Amino acid sequence: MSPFLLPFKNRVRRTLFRIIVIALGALIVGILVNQFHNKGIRWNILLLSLPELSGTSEWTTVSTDSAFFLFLQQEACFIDIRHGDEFEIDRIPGSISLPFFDYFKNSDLMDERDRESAYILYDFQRHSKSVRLVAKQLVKDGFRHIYVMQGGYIEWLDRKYPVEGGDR
Amino acid sequence: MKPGWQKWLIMMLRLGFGMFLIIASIDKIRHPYPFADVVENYRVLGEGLSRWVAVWVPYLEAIVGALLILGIWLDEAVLMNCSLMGIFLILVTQAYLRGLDIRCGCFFVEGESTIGLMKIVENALFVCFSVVLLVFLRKRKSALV
Repeated sequence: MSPFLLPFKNRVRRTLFRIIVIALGALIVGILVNQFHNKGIRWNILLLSLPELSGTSEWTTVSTDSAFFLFLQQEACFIDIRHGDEFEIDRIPGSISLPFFDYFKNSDLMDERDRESAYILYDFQRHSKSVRLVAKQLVKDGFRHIYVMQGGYIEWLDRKYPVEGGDR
Repeated sequence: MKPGWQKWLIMMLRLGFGMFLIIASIDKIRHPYPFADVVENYRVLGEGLSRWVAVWVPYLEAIVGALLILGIWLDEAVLMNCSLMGIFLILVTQAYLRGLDIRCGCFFVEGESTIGLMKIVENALFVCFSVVLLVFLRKRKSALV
């Protein structure tokens, strides 16, 4: 039977039903595949994300390659949020140390910095939660151009981009 | 009896959009976290919702693409394709108007062109083509009744 022979109401109902099936199917498949995907977003991360569903972030994440481009152009200041000891071993050349816990104990550490300049934050790991918390706080403190290097320092090392001080 | 070129146009657009959506979904499926970052960078959704979108949208694109190619549930697939193209256009345009210097993330999650006027024109063309597909498909079905 041709769909155009069905009454209009039935057609609309059937279309809506199928759209819901497709949308829900995609969501279920997505959640399931991500459980087995080695770099997938696990269900516990999705559940943890539920309280953060509202609001938008005020900073921008950049890939390690884009960060390196900004590094070459000298258009941004790098901020290392790792522990001070790790920073002493090696770091991105020219970066400043702003250890996560020190910053939250004493947020005056960034007071003398220009709030209009661009800052790229990085932690050691990829997709670090700490770096996002620092970015959030810096935006609250009035810094207008905050970037988060999503790959972390580990990816910077993987790419063999320049570092200073260290034998890592 | 409708002209043969319409049939061919529908077929070309169906296959074109189907392939386009499937190809666009591959890199997003392979890299869900970077894709969540791309979504978040549009600054429309927060971190939490961006992750849900990163888990959902690539599979939605792939399923809609497959339905378009296979010709199953075609009315719904074409409608969803139109909606997806419209949403992409709105997102890109708002990012451009807000002056966000971000990656598009349309095909590749990393290392792709930034958002600019060309990207808006490209997305607007996709919307036009998807509307053409929707309209011609409706016309064809009406003619068959």
